Amino acid sequence: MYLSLTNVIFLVGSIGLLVIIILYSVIILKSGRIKQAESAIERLQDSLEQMDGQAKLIVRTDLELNKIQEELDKKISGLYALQKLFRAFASTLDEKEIFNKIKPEHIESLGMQRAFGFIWDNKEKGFLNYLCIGYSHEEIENIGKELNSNQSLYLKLLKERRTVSSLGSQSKVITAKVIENLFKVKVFYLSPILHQEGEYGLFCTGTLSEEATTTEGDAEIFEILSGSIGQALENARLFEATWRAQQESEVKVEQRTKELTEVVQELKNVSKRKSEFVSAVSHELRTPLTSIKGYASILLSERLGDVPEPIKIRLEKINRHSNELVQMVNDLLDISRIESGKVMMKKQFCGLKGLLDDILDLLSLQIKAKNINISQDIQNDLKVFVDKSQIERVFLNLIANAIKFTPEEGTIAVNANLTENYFIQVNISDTGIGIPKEAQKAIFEEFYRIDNPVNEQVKGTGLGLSLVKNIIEAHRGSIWVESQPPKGSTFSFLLPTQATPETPVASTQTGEGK
Amino acid sequence: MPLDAAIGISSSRDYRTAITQAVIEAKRNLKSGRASLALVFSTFDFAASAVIENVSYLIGAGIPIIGTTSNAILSANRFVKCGVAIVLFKTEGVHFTTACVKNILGNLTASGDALGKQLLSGAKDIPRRFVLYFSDGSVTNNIPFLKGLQQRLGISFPIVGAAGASDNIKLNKTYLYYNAESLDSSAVGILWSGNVNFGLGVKHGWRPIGKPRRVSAAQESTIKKIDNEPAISLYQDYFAKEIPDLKKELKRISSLYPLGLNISGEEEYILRNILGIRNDGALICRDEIPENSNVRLMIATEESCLNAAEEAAKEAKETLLQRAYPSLKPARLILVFNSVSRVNVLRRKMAQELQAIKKVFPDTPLIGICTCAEQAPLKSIDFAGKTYCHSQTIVILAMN
Repeated sequence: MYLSLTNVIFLVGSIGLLVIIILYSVIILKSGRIKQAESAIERLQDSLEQMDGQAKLIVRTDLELNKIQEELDKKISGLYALQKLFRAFASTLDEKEIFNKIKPEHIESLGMQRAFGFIWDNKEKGFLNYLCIGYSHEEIENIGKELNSNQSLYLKLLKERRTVSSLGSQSKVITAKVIENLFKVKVFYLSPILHQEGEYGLFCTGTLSEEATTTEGDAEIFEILSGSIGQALENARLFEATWRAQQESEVKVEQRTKELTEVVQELKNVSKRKSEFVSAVSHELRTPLTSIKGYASILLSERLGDVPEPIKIRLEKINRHSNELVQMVNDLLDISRIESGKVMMKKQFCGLKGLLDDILDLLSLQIKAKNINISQDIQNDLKVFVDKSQIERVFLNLIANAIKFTPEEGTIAVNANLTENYFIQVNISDTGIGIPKEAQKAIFEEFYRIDNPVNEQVKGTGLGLSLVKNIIEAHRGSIWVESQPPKGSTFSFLLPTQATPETPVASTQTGEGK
Repeated sequence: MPLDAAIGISSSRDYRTAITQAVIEAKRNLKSGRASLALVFSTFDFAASAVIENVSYLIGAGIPIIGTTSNAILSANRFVKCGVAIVLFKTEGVHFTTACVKNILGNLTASGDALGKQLLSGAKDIPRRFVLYFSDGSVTNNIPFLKGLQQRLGISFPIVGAAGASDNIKLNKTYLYYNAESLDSSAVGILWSGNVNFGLGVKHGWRPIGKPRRVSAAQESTIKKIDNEPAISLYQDYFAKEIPDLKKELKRISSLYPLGLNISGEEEYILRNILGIRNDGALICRDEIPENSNVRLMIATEESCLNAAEEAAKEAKETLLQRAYPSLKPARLILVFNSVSRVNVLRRKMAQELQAIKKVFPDTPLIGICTCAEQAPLKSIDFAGKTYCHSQTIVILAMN
């Protein structure tokens, strides 16, 4: 029983020992696993910390990238706004309208909320508000009052000619705080509006909150903007000045034109009076001349008795001079009638060649006497729409002149051709003594005679070419002369081919001795 | 045709012209019949009582109006930074109740409850569908108001809310329109009941980066400590910047890298904007983050944001079709509430977000606003459609 109890105790002890050993083994095993788990947790913790460290790097880089992106976006928006404004400025030359082109959305795009633009008016000696965006009427009034009550201060600020801001460049004459209080802004840029020779005014933009994201590049944008405002203002003022000058010159031109019109009218009146005078005098001269001629003819006919030879010679002179006088009076009368429009042109279509042939036939004796060679180049079908009798006088005068100034054995050439404006140009050339350049204009004036040997020998009235010019102009044509002394002259004139031709291009240019 | 909606929008800077143009366009688009409800969005420039009085006069007396101001109106193809948009509804067979609570800042929860109570009072014995409400953007913690609304309407009842954004993210004053009144410190809402259907898509496009953190101390919308360190240390650590520099860049950093709140049972993280940094290193957030929440720093790209907009639109379309089955009626109106903070990521590509939505809803009239806070349900496993407060999120509401 005792042994048995000992054995039991031993058995229990052995079992207990075994349990303890097992438990110890389990504890050792578990503690190893715990250590492994702790080690794994530690590694995980390290990884997490590493990842967190990487996350910090990512976040910091992302923040910087976001700032750069933000600045780029702002620049792009700002540049878009500037581009729109530049286009808007270019579309106007009105000073006030330039500022009206700046809209709240432009200022918003530039990252600002308020804008104030003011210009120094040299005449009024004061600052004038040209732009107010984001301000109440009361605020605008207060800013205007402050600017004008401290003009010298703000003029000094203007004279600094540089951009000042709440973030960067400061003014030497005024603190940023004063500007902030004046324009009721937290962040601001104040840029001068300049032109080449001076300053116009100032342009202020700002935000209501300090939180506004402003960057270093903003100052450049606002400098560019105020520069473009200055440029636009300068353009507007130049345009204004040019426009005013043009207006003044237009007024002057108008005034001069009016004066000239009056002078022309006066000349017309004088000319009319002259024609009327010439007409009246000519008529008055004709009656006594007819009597003189009549009495001279009666005496010469010796119906009243024999006339001694010396008296006969004098009477013939009286008769000849009387005829010349009658011719002159008739020419004068014709000129004055044509000038005053009293002569009714009986226009009709006539063949030019036939008309010329009649004149050459009439002058054939004179042509033969000087053995002058006549050549003509006029197509048979050329027709002019003229008063035949008047144009015959033109041809008669010009060809007679040509015969008169062409030496014996000389040549007279007549040709005609159609021009583009329904006119026929007739050219009468001779191999005469020619007309000096200085006299080429004057020969178409009344009573003008060139001082040359032919004129000294052959008498004339000095009215022939004047009459010719008047007749041609009465047909809406023109006459001119080209001459090269002593080789000869060419008289050219235009005659219409239809009832309402266009105004001819050529006009009276020069003349020949007569 | 139980529900019809027509949009009129104008970007004229003169408010009289803008209102006239918008009302004429909306009436013309409504084709026939008289409108029974109007939704009005205007930019901040038009936040005058004369504006809503004019709208009320032009659309016709007695037509209920709700609406809000924002810094931008979204239309099918553009962002309108100055203007007004009017949506006219014709609601045959559809029941709606509009309501308004004023002076909400004193007690947000009670105000939310009051709005819910008013909305419910008009929809007795009619199957309720969803609530759409607009609130004052100056409320930085929208959760108490939402809780008040939920305790009245039910925690799983679908609620879509938005607070219009202003130009200043800190002082986000919003005016609310209720009939012919322009109100601040208020909330306006509409409870849709009866034969109306909706589809909802809620996405942001941000992804978590870095290790998870735990909010170890928080009070309402202020996170005092994260991982037992001052909350700002998270941002100091990630950006290697001191507090003054972080304060200076807060708007950018907060928009680009918000905090993501992991909600049990939800796929999406809910984002929280940082509105301010206290001197003791505490972070003031838009809307609260509960103590012991898991938070992550979030990051996004242009692409992820654009994809999110498209996914949200697809989700809205799918849920609309699921609910509308078997009639498969197309959407009559798309309302978009798009966080203004997304501008900081998308910048000039903001218009592409609208294009992404139009790709999914090519022929449906679309209107929306930029918001500073959004409220909408997520796909929840635990709760069927529980509404959460969001930041930086695009909420697309499709209605038919």
